[in-house]
Amino acid sequence: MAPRLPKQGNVVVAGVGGQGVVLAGNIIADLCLGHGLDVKKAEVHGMSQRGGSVSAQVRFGPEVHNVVVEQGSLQYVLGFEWAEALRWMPLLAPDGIVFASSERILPPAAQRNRVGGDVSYPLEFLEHPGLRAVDAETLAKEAGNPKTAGVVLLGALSTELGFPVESWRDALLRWVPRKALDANLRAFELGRAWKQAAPPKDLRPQRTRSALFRLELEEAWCKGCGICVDVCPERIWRLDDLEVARAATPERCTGCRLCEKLCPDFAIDVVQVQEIDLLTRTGGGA
Amino acid sequence: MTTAKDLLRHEMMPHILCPGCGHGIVMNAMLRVLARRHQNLDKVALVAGIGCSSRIVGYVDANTLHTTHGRALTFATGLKLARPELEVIVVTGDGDGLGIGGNHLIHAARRNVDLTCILFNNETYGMTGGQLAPTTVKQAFTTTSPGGNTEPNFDAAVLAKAAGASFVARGQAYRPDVLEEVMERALDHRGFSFVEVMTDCTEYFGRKNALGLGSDLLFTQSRSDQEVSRDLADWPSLRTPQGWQVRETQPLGVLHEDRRPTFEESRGLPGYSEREV
Repeated sequence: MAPRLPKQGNVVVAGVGGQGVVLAGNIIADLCLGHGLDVKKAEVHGMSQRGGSVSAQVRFGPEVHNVVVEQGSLQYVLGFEWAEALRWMPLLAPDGIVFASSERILPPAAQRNRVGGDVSYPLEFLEHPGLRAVDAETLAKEAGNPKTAGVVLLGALSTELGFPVESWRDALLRWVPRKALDANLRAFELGRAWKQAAPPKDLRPQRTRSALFRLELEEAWCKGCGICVDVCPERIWRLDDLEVARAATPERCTGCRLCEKLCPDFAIDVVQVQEIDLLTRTGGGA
Repeated sequence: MTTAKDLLRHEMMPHILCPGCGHGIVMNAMLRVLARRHQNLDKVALVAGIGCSSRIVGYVDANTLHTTHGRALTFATGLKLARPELEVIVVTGDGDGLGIGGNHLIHAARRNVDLTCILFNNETYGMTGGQLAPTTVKQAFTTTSPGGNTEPNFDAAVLAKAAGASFVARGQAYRPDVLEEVMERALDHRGFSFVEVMTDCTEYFGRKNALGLGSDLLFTQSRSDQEVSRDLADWPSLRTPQGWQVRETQPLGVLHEDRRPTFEESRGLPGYSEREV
């Protein structure tokens, strides 16, 4: 069956900095240009290095005037990160399709308290008929390079978007780094094959548990060097008047153990006390 | 599960090391590695010479041997040959292992005795008052080089490799996870394993060279010499045309690994296979 060539359409690629969102947008745009279509592309990046929102909107057709996708007309969303994909759901057309990686990367703002329990993902979109949760991370690892997760999603999109598969491969050939080409082509095939498999039933996050930690201090051993004060990413430790370390906000401990490992005096112990469920926010066993 | 703290002699704590001393961090990493490998340290012997770094064996609940200055490796060689079932770890410093005991280091490496040598390089003689050590880099200030060091320094890892050590690695106190990994591999290796660890002397080296104390000094390990030199720009006497060389950018991790017959194997000495790894 020869694939029908789309006359017009729009795609949004959404993800976080460093995932290759802009590259994926370029590949789609290049593909459309190759078929003689007019293409407009808009990107939002900038303050997104390693972890912030990045998105690329690609609109194509015989003639495109507006670069921005209108509300209710978005046809395809390619979400490289779960929450970033969900951000675009309000713009989705009634028959729009979202390919979202089930990978979850906490946004920096949510990391102000990473202990868990305060972070949850919106669940109301889970019932949307167009939502396809792709375990792109696992497939990309299978392809040989976890960075090819985006190309897995491009593969999944290629089964819906309708351009000939050779054009997709040509576009990949032109854009992906040469040394990662094999892994990317494998990832693309895995993405295409994924569509044929049954969609996963459980769309909930895979990592739903987080641990709580207790900080123990051997006061007599602390010499007040202040290393723990400066290395703690959560700024938990303070030196008191006697130059002894004190955990001022122990409830914010994420268990990274930097203080324990960098304490020259063996004074700090980070003890895991219990696990909690991120979705129900209930505690588990110790 | 055994933790690093379980392996300490609690009656000896707190240790004598100065506040923020990098040696404590390295010791912490070493004990975490040992705690993963052993229930207790009855089958482990720590041999040390003289110096701040060598003092740490006194705080570890293992078979410990505090020997003469620079001669830790010779005692350890004898111990290993007499009791091959022990895991023998030599804890030495740069003054101890390269200055006074440099000769013993190259010959232990040449013989490829199945020892693990952990050399704490704090670029100075800390215990005796911060004198110039063979590892003190050019331009650095010590109590015996008040105008800045004019001599080139040893690269301990390169020296050990050239002398024939079959495993050579370098770690930093600033990166305890890397340190644990190289120590783990050094202990696994059969033959002379040499691990150079960059640590900090806060009271002498850090203070004399205006590198700060505690975490400030520790963080300089993560920075290039250009960055440190920029911070020191308001201290003109420290500036050189080549830039500040105190914190050279050194390669980290496992630098050399090969498998050649150990001293014990090449002599067919008995009891070698009894060691449980």
